[in-house]
Amino acid sequence: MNRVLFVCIAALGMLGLGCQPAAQPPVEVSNAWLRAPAPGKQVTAAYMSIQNNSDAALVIDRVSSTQFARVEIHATQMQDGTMRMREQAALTIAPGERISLAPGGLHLMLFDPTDAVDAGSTVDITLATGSQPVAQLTVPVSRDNPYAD
Amino acid sequence: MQKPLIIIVIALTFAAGLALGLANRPAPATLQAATHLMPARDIAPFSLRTANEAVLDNAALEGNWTLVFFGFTNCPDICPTTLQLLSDARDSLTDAEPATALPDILLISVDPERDTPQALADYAAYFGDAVYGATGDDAAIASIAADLGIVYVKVPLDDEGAYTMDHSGTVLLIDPNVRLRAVFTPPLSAASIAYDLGIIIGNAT
Repeated sequence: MNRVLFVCIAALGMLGLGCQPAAQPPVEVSNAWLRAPAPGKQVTAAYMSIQNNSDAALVIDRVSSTQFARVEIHATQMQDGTMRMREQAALTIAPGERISLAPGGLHLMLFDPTDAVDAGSTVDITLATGSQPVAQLTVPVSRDNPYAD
Repeated sequence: MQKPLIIIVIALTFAAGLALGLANRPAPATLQAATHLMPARDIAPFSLRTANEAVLDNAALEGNWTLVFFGFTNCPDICPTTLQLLSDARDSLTDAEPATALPDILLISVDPERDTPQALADYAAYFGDAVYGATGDDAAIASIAADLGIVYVKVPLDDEGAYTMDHSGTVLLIDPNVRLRAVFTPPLSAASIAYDLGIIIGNAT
C-alpha cells in the first residue's frame, strides 16, 4: 500500500499536471491521519510526516480544514515529566529535511468540527505558507495510528 | 507473603545476570519501563466521584489492579494517546493473565471545571470497557495528585478564558491492596508496559 497518501502541489496544479511522483514534488506528505474525536469532544489532533524536497526552507504557518472551525500547530513538550502543550507559530522544514508530527510531540490541533467526524471517514487539511497553499491533503480518520506496525 | 518472593526472584535474577556476565542482555524478569516500588507504598485517603456521582475512594479500588493517569478530556494529543496505549497494553495481556488480574484504567481529571463526571465517563469508556474516569473538587484532586507525585497547572491561553492544563505524563500502578506498586514515566510504550505488568502482576498472583 502506498503510504504517500496524498500529495498535491499548487505549482504542479497550475501546470495541469496534478500529482506526478516522478517529478519529486517539493512538498511530500505521508502517513497522515486524524484521531477520531472522543464522543462529545470538540478537539482532536492530526499527525503526518512532511518532507521538503525543495532547495529553500519550507515554512508552514497556516493550516485549515473545511470540516473544522480552526486548526493550530501545537507541540507537546515534556519538561521534568510534565506534559505541556503549546501553540507554535509555524513549522519550519529545512531543504531536504523531513519532520514528523507524531503523538506526544508536534501535531495539528483541530477545533470545533462542523459535522460528525467518524473513524473510517476522511477530512481535508490544507497546509499553507501565508495565503499560498503548499499541500492539500485528504486525511483518513482513525481511532489509533493506522500506520503502526 | 508475596514480598519476600519478589525480592528473592529479583535477587536471583540479578545474581544470575552477574554470573553469566550478560551485561547487555536483560534477564527475563527485568522490568523494561516501570519503577517498581518495594515495598509498595500506602496511599493517603482520597475521595473522588465517578459517573452517576458514585464515590471512588481507597476502598473502591480494593481487589483490582488499577493503572492511573491524570489528564483532561479537552487534551487532543497526550491524553487520548496514553489512554489508547494503556488500553492496548491491557488487551495484550488477556491471553496471559486471568481476567480478574487485568488492570482497570482510571483517568483522574485535573480539569473539573470542564470535565463533569458524566462527560468524563463517556470519554473514558470510548477507550475500552476497563477504562473509567473520576474527578472531584479542586481540593480532592490536589490531594490525591500530591500524594501520588503528580503535578498539574492551569495555563491561560488568551484573554477570553481559553486554557490548557499542564500535567504529569506519569502512569501509576495501584495494587489490589490499594498501595502504589509501580510508576511508569514517559515516553510510554504499550509493549513495555504490558511486559512489565506481566511480571509485576504475575509475581503477585
